[in-house]
Amino acid sequence: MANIVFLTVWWLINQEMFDLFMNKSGCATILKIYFFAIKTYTVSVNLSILFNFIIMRGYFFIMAFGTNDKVLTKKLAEQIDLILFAHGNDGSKLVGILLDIQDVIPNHYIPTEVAYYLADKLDIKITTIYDCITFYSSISDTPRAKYPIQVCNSIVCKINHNDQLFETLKELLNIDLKEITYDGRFTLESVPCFGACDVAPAVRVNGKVYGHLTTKEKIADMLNELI
Amino acid sequence: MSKAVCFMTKNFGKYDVKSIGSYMAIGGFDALKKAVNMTGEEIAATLATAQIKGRGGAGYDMGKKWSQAKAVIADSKVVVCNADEGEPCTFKDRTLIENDPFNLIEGMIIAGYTVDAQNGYIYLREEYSHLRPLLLDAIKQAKTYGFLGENILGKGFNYNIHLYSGAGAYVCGEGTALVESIEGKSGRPRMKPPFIKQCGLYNLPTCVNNVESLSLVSSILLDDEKKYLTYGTEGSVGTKLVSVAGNVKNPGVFEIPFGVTVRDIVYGLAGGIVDDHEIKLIQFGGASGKFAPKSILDTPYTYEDLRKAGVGVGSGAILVVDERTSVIDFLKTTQEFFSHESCGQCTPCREGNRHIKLLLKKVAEGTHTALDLASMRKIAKIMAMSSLCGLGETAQSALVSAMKNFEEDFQIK
Amino acid sequence: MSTVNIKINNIPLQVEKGTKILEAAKKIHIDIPHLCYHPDQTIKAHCRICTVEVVGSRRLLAACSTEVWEGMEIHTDTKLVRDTQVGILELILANHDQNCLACARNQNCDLQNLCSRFNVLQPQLERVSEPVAIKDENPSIARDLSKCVKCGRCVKVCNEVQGVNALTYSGRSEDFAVTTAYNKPLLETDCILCGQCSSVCPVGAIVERDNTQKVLNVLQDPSKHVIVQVAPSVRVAIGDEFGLPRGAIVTGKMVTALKMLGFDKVFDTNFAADVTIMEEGTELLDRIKNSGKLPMITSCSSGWVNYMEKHYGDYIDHLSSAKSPQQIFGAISKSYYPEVAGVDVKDIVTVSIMPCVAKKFEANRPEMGRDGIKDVDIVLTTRELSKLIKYVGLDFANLDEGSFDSPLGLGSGAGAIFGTSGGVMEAALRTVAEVYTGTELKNLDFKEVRGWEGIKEAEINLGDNSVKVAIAHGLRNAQKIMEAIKAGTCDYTFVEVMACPGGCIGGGGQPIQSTTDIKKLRMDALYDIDQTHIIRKSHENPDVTALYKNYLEAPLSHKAHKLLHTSYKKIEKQYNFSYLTKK
Repeated sequence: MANIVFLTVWWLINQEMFDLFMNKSGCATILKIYFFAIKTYTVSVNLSILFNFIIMRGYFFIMAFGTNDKVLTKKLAEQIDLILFAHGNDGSKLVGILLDIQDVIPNHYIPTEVAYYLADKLDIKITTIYDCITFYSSISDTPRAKYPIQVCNSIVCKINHNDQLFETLKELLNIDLKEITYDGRFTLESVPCFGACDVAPAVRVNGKVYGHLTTKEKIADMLNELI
Repeated sequence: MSKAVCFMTKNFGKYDVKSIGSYMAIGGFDALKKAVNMTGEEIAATLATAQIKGRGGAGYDMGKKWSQAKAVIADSKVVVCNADEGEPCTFKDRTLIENDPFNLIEGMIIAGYTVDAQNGYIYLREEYSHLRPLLLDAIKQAKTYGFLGENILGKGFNYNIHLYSGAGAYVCGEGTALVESIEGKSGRPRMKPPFIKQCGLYNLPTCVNNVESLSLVSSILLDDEKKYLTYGTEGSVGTKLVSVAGNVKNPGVFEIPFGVTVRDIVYGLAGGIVDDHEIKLIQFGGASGKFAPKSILDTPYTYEDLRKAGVGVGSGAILVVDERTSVIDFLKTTQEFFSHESCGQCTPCREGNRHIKLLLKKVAEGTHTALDLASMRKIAKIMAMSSLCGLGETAQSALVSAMKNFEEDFQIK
Repeated sequence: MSTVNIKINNIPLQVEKGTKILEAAKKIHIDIPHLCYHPDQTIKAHCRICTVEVVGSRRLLAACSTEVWEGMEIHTDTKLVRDTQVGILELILANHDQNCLACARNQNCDLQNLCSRFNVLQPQLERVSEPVAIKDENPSIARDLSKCVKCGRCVKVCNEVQGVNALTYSGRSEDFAVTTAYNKPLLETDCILCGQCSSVCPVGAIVERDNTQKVLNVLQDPSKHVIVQVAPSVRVAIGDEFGLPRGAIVTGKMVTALKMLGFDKVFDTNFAADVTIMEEGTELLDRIKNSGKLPMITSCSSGWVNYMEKHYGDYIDHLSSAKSPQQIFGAISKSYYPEVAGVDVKDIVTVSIMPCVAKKFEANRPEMGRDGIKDVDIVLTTRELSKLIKYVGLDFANLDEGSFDSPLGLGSGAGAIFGTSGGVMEAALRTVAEVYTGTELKNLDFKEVRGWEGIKEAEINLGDNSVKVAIAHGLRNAQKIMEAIKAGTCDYTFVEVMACPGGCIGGGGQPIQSTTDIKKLRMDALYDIDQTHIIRKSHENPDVTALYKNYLEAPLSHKAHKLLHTSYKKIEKQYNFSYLTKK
């Protein structure tokens, strides 16, 4: 009975540990725990754990590498097709199409595969799409974050102490400009004026403007609103 | 006593911006109803009398522009509303859209009627994406009420408005770059000629107008008593929206009659300087504007007086910088902006901005030489004289006025 | 056409309405400096070097794009204009690789010419150029972004003229660059290596892969028997590089130069062109008779074959299975020739001189050879040949007239016109018409297939039947024909396609800055050569007859098939989205 409970608990922990498995330090941690278990518990428990280890690792391995690991999943393709339909499948609406697609992709960017998919579906050249993606600042070809925090770097916000705003954000999030937090939630971007000069210093996150960010408390409140 | 007036901003706070019915209850669309009983030439002439200089910053007479657009013979024409307000320290168009969206729609419809266009396009910068639902809904309601679509007000006038989004490029505020963007390409300005009034969006004759310019139309058309003409001076008739920001206590958008002094605006309307610091400089017209030391305070805010003083109205931006900011830091920040926004296709702007940025860094570090200063002047002149579009032409306006008015900041150490 | 009166530098002149300032100045022999302007492309007005003063304008105006108006007063040589031109050159130079000696375009570079003209000896500005390493492993084209002046000529030719769209502008400001989508190597893009970009580039940013040193090495190796074949288009273009009139026919001098370079035998690709007609003509008749895949499309343009494999892969069986003349020559040089010459095939190095950079790729195709021996070992462009001639120090213009060697040096008039658009078609028709009808042709000049028009159509009488043919040059035009074939809206039997505008005489490997006017002169020159030949039909070439009699037996024989025919492969798109529609 104790073994069954124990194994169930181990199985549950494995599920949680899947995220960690996907990076090196996570792997090391799991191994450490297993070695501890092997040292501590009885042979039968160890065999169960070994069995569990093989099955679970195999499962995760297949999940990660065996099945479809493409960025453009069927679900995303369907979402993109709907967006294209809403724009009349018209290649001359490319800018709006790219912005709408960027909104539905979790890290707010246009993956290379998606660009080629658009070239195919809209019958336009990949070079036109690449030119648009690299030309427009609001469209990114590299993954950003769930909440890209865009801090204004133009003159009005600068003379209203945006340097303090930058430093506080870096400190609170523990990242530098263009870096992404470990959970993929936030990234810091320095952007030019977005017309919020009357509430300087200001920040824009996924279209919403937060102004008058002059104290650490106000900045922290804004971040809390997003979590 | 506030020197602000309420001519084009008279609807602010007076109706529910989400309801066309509430707009019509305060006289909304009366101007359109009047317009469709006039000829296009008559409407253009009315605007010409009001002497509205294009409010995006280029300053071309609006009545004249509409009259020329009307005269172009073509089966299809388009009207474009340039809502790509990207000039730093300018947020008046945002304010107009937020507080009076139906007025803008009405102005666009009147524009289409005047110049014989069948389609109007609003190009809204991506940074104002939160205003998209508001405008889309306003367009939808206007269509439901028969102010858009076929046979508007029974006059056989067909017109539709389409909303397009920018994607983060200041250069798309330039007319030809804007139409490139609407056509689904990167927004790099086209060479001129051909000019946009002959060959613009989809190669059709295109009439581009700023949000503020279009927002004035209905008020002017309904201004039978010519109240608008009582404001301002002989050289600068009427009112202007100014965006005041920087180190002022009350940053915001104010509608002022031309002729009030800069002091009236900065100290009267914007509440003066934060912590009562001294003014270092005031930049007029946005990042591409020239600036002046605080002696400009007593200059009347008009096209002619500001020009005489070596600055200009531009977009109506008034950026007040106090003594805590050095001129060189100010220039470096402005240069960062242009280095980021240049489209890159023409040599003077692309390479010129690159080098000015490097040279300003040397000036900031105090390691520059006389040769470097000469290079900066030379590059600024090349950019002003031979760039392909207005961005390159005006990018170094601030630098040039700084080298003139604040020579001591460039002294070689 | 109405005219306007203008003044340039106080000189009055009258020009047609709509003329640009740059063109007007040319009429009074003033060359306004320019970099991005190209007469065969739409105007870009990017470089701004051509800006001039116009009375009444507060800014300088670009001469390439500004139209003259009545009473316009232009000044091209004021201090302001000169200072601006010098300033812009300095700006470009500061962002440009300065090592001219190591550049393929040294002494043949527009930027060098302008800097020299305006005494820009070194930039006063900080050097911002960094070498931009591009990993681009293809045998035809090399790119170096540190030399790019961002004139956009390559983008225009790739997009507007060729319709391939492999190159594009990207980014903004300092990141503005001319590149491929996602900076991929050319082979991983829509590029088909036609090399038109390399022939319009004003500097050394896009050049052909240089094989001159390889050829020098092999010429200096006594153990090698080095033979060379020269394409029909080279002999009417190489004179450009040595001060001779454009379109001059310099066959004799060219042959002498090659012999003096040290080639053991100098042969003529025109010979192989005649063999191509034998194979391809027979194949066409076979397809007509046996309801084979029609229309049959020529396959001698290697850029075109690349284009078909990449973009119309489902239609590659329309292509003739005959190899191109270059490869047919190569195959013969490594099978028939060693036998008749008594040379060991392992010692033979076959070099070809081509107006084409795609031929470098073609020669490297794994199917072009057998038993580890390549049909063609090294390909040089016309440009590289002129380099070699200069290397050896020959005074080309004054060389004696030489003759091609035997047995692979005799080409007919039909073979000679292979280099022009319409030439392959005409050569094929001369043979096919005679063989099909069994009667001698009275008129060998099929004028309906000649000329500069992008797509030419003709209906040719073959006895009681008539066949519809089409000729396209430039890939944008070729694409129109392919779309018609795809849609089933055309009834052509035979189609000739050449990837480059004008045909091979306008190839990507021809002398730099070959404009349309110059290409037309070359076209005329090839037809002139044809007229001077006694033998003007491929099937009457005695060396070709001997080849079949003594070696190949007959066109499409088993041996001919093995050596002279090839197969094509559809190139799958890089991203395959079919998994999305699978259940």
